[in-house]
Amino acid sequence: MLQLCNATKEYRKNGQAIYAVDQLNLELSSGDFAVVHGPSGSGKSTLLLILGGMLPPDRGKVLYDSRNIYNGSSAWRNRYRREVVGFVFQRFCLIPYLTLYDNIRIPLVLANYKGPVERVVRELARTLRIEDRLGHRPGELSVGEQQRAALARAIVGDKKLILADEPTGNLDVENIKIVTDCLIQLADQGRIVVMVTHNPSMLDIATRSFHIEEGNITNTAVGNEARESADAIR
Amino acid sequence: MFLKIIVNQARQKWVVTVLLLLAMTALVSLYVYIKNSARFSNRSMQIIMKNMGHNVLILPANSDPGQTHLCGPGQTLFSDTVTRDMAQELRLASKYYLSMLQERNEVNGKTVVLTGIEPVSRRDETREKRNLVVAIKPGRARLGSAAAEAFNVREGETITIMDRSFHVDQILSSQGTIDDSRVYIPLAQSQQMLNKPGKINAILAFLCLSYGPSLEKTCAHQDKVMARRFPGFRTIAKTNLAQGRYLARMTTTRYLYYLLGIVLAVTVALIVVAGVQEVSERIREVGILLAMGAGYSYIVSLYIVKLLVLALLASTAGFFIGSGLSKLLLVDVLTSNTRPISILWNQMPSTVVLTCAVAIAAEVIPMIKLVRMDPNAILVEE
Repeated sequence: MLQLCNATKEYRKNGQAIYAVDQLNLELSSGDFAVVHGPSGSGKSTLLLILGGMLPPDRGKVLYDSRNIYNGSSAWRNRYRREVVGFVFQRFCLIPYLTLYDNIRIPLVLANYKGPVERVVRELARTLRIEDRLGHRPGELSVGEQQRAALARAIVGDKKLILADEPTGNLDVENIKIVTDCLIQLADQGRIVVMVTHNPSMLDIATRSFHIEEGNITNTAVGNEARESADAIR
Repeated sequence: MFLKIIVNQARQKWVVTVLLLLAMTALVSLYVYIKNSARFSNRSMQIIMKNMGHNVLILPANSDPGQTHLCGPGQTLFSDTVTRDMAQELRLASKYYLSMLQERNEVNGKTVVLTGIEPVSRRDETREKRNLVVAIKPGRARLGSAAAEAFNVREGETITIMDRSFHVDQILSSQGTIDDSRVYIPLAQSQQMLNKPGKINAILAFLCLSYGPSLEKTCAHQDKVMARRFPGFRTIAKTNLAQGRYLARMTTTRYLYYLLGIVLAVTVALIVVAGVQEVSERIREVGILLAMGAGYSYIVSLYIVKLLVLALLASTAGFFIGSGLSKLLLVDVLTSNTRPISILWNQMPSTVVLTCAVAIAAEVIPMIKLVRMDPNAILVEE
């Protein structure tokens, strides 16, 4: 279970406090597919970084399985990111000088994975239809292939929490379907998926939805409510 | 994977990588060349200066240096144990002592100076330099050019002085000084022949310049120790010789080290600038690796290991280039060499360690910047 308790993150600009996240509370369980939506600059990406152990809140707590992830050492937080969290970024963030195969296996190497690395990577690549691209560098791939590779890298190694920041923002319809199908499948397998998006159609597939404005959650919905919320936005 | 990232990072920024490698190689080459120059050319200079004669004369305080110069009957005599006592005193700046007993004689109507000599070593003299003052074996003699003419002998022949025979080992080339008239024989034999057992009338020595930052300071140090330990004696520096030796040392060593300092500063600046720039450009990669669970220690070690590999390559290449340059450039300069110019393998470990230390020290600033950067700002934009 992932909980955010009164989390606040503020930045200072010209001596004035700007709240990226303001006393946010949310609770997500295994199997939740949460969609976070809201206008640009509302604090969605900051929320993902806080949940992912990258950015400590100024106030409040982030609990994973009842443990405050920002209370532990940085080594413990590194381990949390290695073993629990998978990030997907809108611009993929693949390492440009490594092949897709190496990009995807980095998390396994960092986690000192003892299993059959090549088999795991190839199976995942087959699922995401990029198996024949494993020997290529990111610059040699289409946008859709790069995003699928970024997704593969995020979920390799049985990650429990997938944090996706606009993963479908630059994709065509076919690639959007591949990526969303994969995320739905991950949630069905019991992972927590948190997706930040501007795309209202994503609310159709969400089990939870959160609307954020100026660092505050202004609307939450569960299951069918989320889909109704999508209709309202459309 | 670790090495793959390092190699690919280096390949991606290959211009910077090559530039760093060249700068570090140039630094090490110069360092090795200077070390070799200092070792070979400085010693060569010392021998050249030594061929011109010892640069200090040690005499009793009340003696007349003019009489010593003229080798006349007015020279003061003193015990030859003084030289051995001086050789025990390591605080003195003088080394490579030569006890000398000299007296003018007539041979075939020409003046010769019978000169008994005996080198006395200090224990901190290098073996290589100790060989410069070669002792004469009993029954052997070394002749100045005018003395050889007076005796009408050549090398390998025998001369007779005061009813004693001496085999002529060497005839020295003409110097245009009184040394041309000298007949060098072992001190003990000269003492017997001149009936002055255990006596000498001068000590020649070399003033070592490592005892002070300048010739003046070294002379002052020598006078101070002499006044305390050997109050009845004084050191007379042959200033032109000592100054020449000092300048030779300066030109062969110190100026090159100043140059090395400049190259070191440029190399360090290059490493710092290249490192800071690379870290700034790779902030996105740092963020990605952090997001995947890599710690800062892992990310910092990527940069440090890469630089250490470059430092190892540069120190090895620089060592051989510097040694090669020494062999190539110094061989024509050093006309009087103590030993053949060779690769000084014992310098290699210190060269490698020093290069790595310089590289790591220069990388501190970029690594501080890396740790202080906030990759989240970039990731939020992503």
